[in-house]
Amino acid sequence: MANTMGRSFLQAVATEEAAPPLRVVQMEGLAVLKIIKHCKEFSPSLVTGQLLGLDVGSVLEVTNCFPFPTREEDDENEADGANYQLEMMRCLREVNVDNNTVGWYQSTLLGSYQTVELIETFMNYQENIRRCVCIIYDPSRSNQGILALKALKLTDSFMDLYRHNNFTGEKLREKRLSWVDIFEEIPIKVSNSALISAFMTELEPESPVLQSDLDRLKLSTSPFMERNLEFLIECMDDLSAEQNKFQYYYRNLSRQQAQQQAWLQKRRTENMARKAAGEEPLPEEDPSNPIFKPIPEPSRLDCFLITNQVANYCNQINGAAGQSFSRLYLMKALHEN
Amino acid sequence: MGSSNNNLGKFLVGFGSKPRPIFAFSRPKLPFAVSSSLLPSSPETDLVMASVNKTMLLFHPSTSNVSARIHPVVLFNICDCYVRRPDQAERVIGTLLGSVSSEGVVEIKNSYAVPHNESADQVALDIDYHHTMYVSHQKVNPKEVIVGWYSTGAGVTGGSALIHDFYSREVANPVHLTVDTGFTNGDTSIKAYISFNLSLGDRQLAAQFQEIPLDLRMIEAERVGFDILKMTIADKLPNDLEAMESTMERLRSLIDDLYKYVDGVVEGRLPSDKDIGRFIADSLASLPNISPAAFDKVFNDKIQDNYALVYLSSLARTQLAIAEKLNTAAQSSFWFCLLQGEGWLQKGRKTDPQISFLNLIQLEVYILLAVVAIESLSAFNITSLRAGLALGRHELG
Repeated sequence: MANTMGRSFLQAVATEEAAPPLRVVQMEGLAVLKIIKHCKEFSPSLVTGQLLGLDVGSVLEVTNCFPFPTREEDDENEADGANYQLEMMRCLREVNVDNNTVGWYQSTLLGSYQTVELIETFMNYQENIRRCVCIIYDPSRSNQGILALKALKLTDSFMDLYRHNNFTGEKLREKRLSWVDIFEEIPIKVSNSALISAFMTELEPESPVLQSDLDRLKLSTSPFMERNLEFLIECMDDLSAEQNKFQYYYRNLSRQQAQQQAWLQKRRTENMARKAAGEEPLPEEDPSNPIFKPIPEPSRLDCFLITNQVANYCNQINGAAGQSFSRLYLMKALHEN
Repeated sequence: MGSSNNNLGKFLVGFGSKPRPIFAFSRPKLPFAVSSSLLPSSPETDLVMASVNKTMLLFHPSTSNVSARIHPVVLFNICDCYVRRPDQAERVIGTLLGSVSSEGVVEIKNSYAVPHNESADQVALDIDYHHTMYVSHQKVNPKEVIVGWYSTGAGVTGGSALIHDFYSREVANPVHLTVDTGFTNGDTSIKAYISFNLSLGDRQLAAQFQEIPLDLRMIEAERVGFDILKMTIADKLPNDLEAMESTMERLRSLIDDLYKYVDGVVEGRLPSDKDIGRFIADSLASLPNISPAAFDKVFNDKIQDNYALVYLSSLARTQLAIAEKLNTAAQSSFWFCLLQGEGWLQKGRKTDPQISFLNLIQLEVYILLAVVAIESLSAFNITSLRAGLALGRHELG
């Protein structure tokens, strides 16, 4: 035991020195299927689970995972959840499953995952493990024959900023951080053991048509599109609310500045008069005056997240529309025949 | 590492005599009967094997309606456990979870491995482990209950009867799934069995395993795609349009095949088949018969809807790009210039020299374009932007 611990510590030290950037997430087919099964069974409610695997250089291997029970808002259950997690890890280790947490997975509805909670979870994980990813799966899209699996991580610069909780415009400009730079998508590779590969090759059905083909050729996409647009419009409303907050802030700021100017002007004329009268001039600054109290600038994090979301919806609409174009032209060709 | 062995041995059963098959039933190679003289469940611990074949044959039950369906994740899990089995272990065994439908179809949806130890005449199963895992799985999905157990290797072996007996105390009529990970016969053999106790009067004689039909169609795996599940390494996930392309390719080859077949039959090269003919007619009839004009209208409407959507989404994206530029790079300077006058603009331009006159013109063209349609989506910060731009132009000009 001591030996392995010693080695892993050495390894940890070694990675500390080198730490090549994470380039690929290599998922085992088993993990993919488990995630899909869990997310799908509980859809449309959202679920999460833990990813287990290994961190090998610039590749993060996800070899297994286990689901978390659906949470109820209860303090007692929180301890329960932690126990469950420990128990599961212990049990899986006993059957020689990789025992390192490398992140977590969660299901999403139409790609609406960019939330403050996600970032908070990320920061929590990041504190304990140096390298982690979040796998996002969208069960609603699998009905269209699309495998909507994504691996995300937060960019380093964003994490740095988040740690200091500093989202003022000035800071963001300084760091040249825009909404695109919050999340980083990492390409996913899927690997399988030779044994599985042999089994699947044998078991692949003879029929030339697969379920996914049938799903893909379904002509009706309007429910999907409609919901996407609905979400998009909602996001737009949120975004304009955020904008209003900023306008309000700037208006207040300018009013304050005008007041300050006026006050300064008054003080200067007063001082001029006092000088003429041969008296000591009053100081030009008065911290006790409420008009010198700085107004807090609203955080831009929400704004960024909403923007991200909007961009995501736009991409989804474009993708789905592209598919529907090809389907429609296919239909046309069929009809002409 | 070493601690795992301590847990073993809580459930120890042994049998003194070697198991031996007694006789074969109607299914030629499947049935396997094992003497189980020391079954812990039965009060009689020392039973003598009876050799009255006639009596036993009466126990051949009618179980034709029991069948099993396996979820691909189970197969993946079993193979993974087998690959990760401990040193010297010949096989892995584990618990199967799932549900039983009213028609007698056993859906095997999940599984987990259970550590065990096996020697020539005894089997030790870590019952504690089994129960903890089961409780954990129940927390996640209470609908999945124990339906049986699995083992790797070809067919039923001696120790199986004992393990099966343990599981039959967990659930009535457990299913025993065997996955031949060794490819002993050169092909995949995945089989499901149920077992019956053969007894003479009160005396238990043997357990007989009978194969039940196993549905290996894996719709879930088809949904994911065999491309990525079959390869030892798949470099990337197929994206939307690539997947679409392959589907269309497949459809085209199907239609080609159909043409070939029909031509063959018409020319007399191939024998005609009424059933196939009927299928073809049915699928042709399933195409709705609409007049070309009506079809054109529907088609064009749909296409236009899609164009509108693409247009809107691109517009929103453009808008985001502009907003981002103006928000992070220039918002403060522009707002100050709006509110504080031209002196502030000078200052703002000093801090943000990258906003050139050309950029501004370009931006305004975009915004004017965007204004027209974005109104239906939401009133963005366009008015403010326009005001800012106008002022900026005035300054620069």
